[in-house]
Amino acid sequence: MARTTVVPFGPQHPVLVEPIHLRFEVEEEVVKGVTPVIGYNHRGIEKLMENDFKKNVFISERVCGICSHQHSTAYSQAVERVMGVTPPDRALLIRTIMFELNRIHSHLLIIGLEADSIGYENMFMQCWRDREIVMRLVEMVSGNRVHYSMNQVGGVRRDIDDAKQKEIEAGLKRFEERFADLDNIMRHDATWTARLKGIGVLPRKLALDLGAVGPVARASGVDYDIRSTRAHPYAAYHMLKSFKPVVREEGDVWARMIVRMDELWICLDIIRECMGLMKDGPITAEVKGNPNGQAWSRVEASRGELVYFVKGNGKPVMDRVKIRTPTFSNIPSLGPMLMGCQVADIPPIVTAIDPCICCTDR
Amino acid sequence: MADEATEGAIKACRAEIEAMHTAGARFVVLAGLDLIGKLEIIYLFQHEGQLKEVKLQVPYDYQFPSITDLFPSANFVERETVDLLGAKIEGAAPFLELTEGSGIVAPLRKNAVNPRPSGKPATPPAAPKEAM
Repeated sequence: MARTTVVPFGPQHPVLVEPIHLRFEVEEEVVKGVTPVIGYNHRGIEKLMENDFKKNVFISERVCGICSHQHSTAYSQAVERVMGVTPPDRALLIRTIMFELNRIHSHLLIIGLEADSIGYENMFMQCWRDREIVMRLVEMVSGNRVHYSMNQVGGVRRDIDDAKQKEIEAGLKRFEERFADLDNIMRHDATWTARLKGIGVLPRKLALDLGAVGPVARASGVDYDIRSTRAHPYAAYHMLKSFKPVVREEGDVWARMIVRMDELWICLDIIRECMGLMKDGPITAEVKGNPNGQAWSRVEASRGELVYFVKGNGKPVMDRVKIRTPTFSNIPSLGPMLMGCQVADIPPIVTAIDPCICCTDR
Repeated sequence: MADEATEGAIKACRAEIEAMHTAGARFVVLAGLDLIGKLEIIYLFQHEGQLKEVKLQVPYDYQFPSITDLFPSANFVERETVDLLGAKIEGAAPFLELTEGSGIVAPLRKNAVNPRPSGKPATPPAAPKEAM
């Protein structure tokens, strides 16, 4: 009879860039049980956001260093809904451009880390080299690489003028050429496909039951992307041509990566479409008084649906801000993905959900 | 102690959530609010593209049922509400995000007090025994 061994994975592990602990019960080399333990990075940000509603934009950005703009967009639009403020179209388009640039570098980051998790160092380096093009674009627009500080309640703080639009277009063109290469490798490379196909499978029913979101859900056949639903428009997505969410049926690690890869092409189209729609005009709307009321706000962050709830009571200080991040929703799905897998497959399976522990713990 | 009005509110909330489940709605998240003396729990569902809220107000120490039997995806967020707001949710294990005995209890309550503002342990050390 095989003996059960407990194998700790994290909170410090070469594959994990952030602290999460997974307690594995293993028989020989096969995973028989897994318990996720979170909270190592808990900073009490929801408590900290019982704070001035304008300052909170910058606090929300600091929930996460990768999807920072996505957090501040979700927060800003929640407060704007409470206050009945509509940002100008130009501001919404700028938010959307930054949002999609954010998604490109986030997806490339995790594709690179996935390659790293299977020891494919060369591909890791290539992904991060190409990511650098986008990092320089966001730095050129905002002056920052991590926390862009672009958003404010009522609009954005910095414009993207014609000269910057030209630089973005040139950067995207350069990125596109390099990226076509990576795309080809990901679809056909023997190492990549042999190592990632068929592992960490999450069936559609479980993805729905466990509340999986974003590329994790879409790779399991769940046709759900807030950007494409016209029922809950946000930023400038309602002004753009509609697109079908990228959905795959395989539900494995490879499918999760291909969904992200296909989404990168859509990001390029969205950014170009936004730049084409930009007209001269203001980038902020007037904001009077203090928020009084409550509202929900949802955005499709790089890792999936990001939800903000805000409540104000007519004072400058917010009464409550609740944040539901995508990784918080995706961690429960790790259980079925990992059950029955080989110990050697744990790193690529865990990495494939794009775990952001900063977001999860807040 | 059983309170008729609260029991009624819990039953009505449960019935609404069961109706959401039967209709095939998706559980999105719940938000807990401290109303001083009682908690408000707002469950958010998505059904046929629309968002729908179900609200429940309970006194601080009143236990109410978990919804994980209907929506397993509510597990983490219920446990988080136990940790951060001190909600009494039946079957929701505490200490998902906080560590037992080492920090602020129910930090999202308005009257939350940091038990160790000077960095001292949350549990005061036992008084030294008197010399025999």
